Amino acid sequence: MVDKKRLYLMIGLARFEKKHQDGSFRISRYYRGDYTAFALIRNFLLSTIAYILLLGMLALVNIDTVFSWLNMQDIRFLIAGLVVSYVIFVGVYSVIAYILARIRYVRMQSDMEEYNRALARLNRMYRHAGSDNVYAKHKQEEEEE
Amino acid sequence: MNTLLELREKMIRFFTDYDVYIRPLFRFALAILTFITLNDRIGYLGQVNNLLVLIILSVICGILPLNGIVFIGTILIVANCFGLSPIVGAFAVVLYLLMLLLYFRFVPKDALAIVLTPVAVTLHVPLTVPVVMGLMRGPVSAISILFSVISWSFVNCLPETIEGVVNTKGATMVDIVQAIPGAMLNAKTMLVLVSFIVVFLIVTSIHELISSHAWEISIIVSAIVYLGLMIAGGSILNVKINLPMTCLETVLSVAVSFVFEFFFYNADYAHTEFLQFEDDNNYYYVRVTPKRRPRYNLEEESEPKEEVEADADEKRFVERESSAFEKKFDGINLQSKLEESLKNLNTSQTHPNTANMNPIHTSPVQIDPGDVSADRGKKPVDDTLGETKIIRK
Repeated sequence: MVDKKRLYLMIGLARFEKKHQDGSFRISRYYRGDYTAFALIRNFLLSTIAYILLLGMLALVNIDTVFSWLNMQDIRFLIAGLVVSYVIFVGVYSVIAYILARIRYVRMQSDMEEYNRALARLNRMYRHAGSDNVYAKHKQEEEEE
Repeated sequence: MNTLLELREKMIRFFTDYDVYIRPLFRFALAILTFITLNDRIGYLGQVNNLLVLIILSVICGILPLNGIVFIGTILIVANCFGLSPIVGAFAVVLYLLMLLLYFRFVPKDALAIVLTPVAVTLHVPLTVPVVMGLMRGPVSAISILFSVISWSFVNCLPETIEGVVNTKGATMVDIVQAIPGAMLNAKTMLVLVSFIVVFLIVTSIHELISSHAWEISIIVSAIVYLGLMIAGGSILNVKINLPMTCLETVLSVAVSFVFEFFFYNADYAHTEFLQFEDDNNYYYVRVTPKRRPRYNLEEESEPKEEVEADADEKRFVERESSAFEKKFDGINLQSKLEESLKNLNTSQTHPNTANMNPIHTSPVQIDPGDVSADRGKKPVDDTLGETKIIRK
């Protein structure tokens, strides 16, 4: 006979797994520090690519201004400006990536707590049903004797 | 109104029943609409500007998640840009890559706005994009509106300006690249951009207010503000605005937004209740607004149905002939026979001597080893086992 409560719980768990397989389940494989560090490294690489693309596009659009800057005797200011803007750009994006990574990790923790509670409930249900079966077997053996 | 609500309920039930088929179909329809609109506007690449190719791409989009439309739509725009000129194509790659790296990697759900904005503008319902985004998403999605307007502006400027620059004799790479930002970020684009963002912020702020008809008010206010901004901004920035067309587009957008609201938010403000209660820590002032549901007149429908059913039963009773097996029992009152046998059974069970002689029949609980459900929750008790042993003796 199908236990309806257990069935509904298993459907809920399956739906949860399907919904969070790319989110919470993936994040739950990491420690918090590792996940944040990984997010920051990835952000650093992507932000650097974005900065280079943005700089290249702006340089191409304002090519005359770029040539006039390059013709300047002292290009140290130009390089310093580029470095400062790069640090600010990557810094701002790192802060955003760090906050988002922390928020995602906290959400994952609450999701997984809920999931683990449901799993424990399912486990209790199975143990309970299992003990009933053991009792039934024991009874049958007794009667056969 | 009730007919509309009934229709809505039927549609929702239909969508729920056939969800597995309708979702891919919806994605396919959205994809083909988007791709045909884009190709109609910027169909520069012959290989892609083919209905069969578009149908195949749309079928792929129907299988993929919703962001598949964004991915393939963006590839389609880039491919058409390459068809116009390799320089424009490279510019498109950089532009969409920047959009992805700067913003949409954090909010991938908003990416659909990139390809839907050009479609909405082409279909003359431009205001739908900020209004629907405002109703469904938070204030942060204003950045999505910014990028979607830039995307629309880029697609729009290709046939209007860039095509002419590319076809000009002696146009260098630098000339083409320098012409694109100027054509993209012109006064009209800036006006549309500001109007869209203002409309979006108005909708997000009003529709969350705890007041009756917040969604409707936000849609109407946003339409009025949009019209005002377009007229005022057009005169300030010297942008030529087709006023009757703008008014018509606004009315169409409002109509589409109301249809959207009808399906996604349908509060019955006439039956709002205000509740007030308290516990040890707080006072609670609760406002309960029910969802609008169709009213079915059950009395009118059910009465004739019952009559018909009764008539049908009567006819069946009269017309039906008794079978050969039933003819054997003619003249025997089966009910009285059954009652008699039950009486006999009761007297034999309640007899004290009989109970002592045969305890199996009088035992209150018969333990069936196979019936797990009867024993659920009980621990194996020795007394019960003992009883069973006595029975066996």
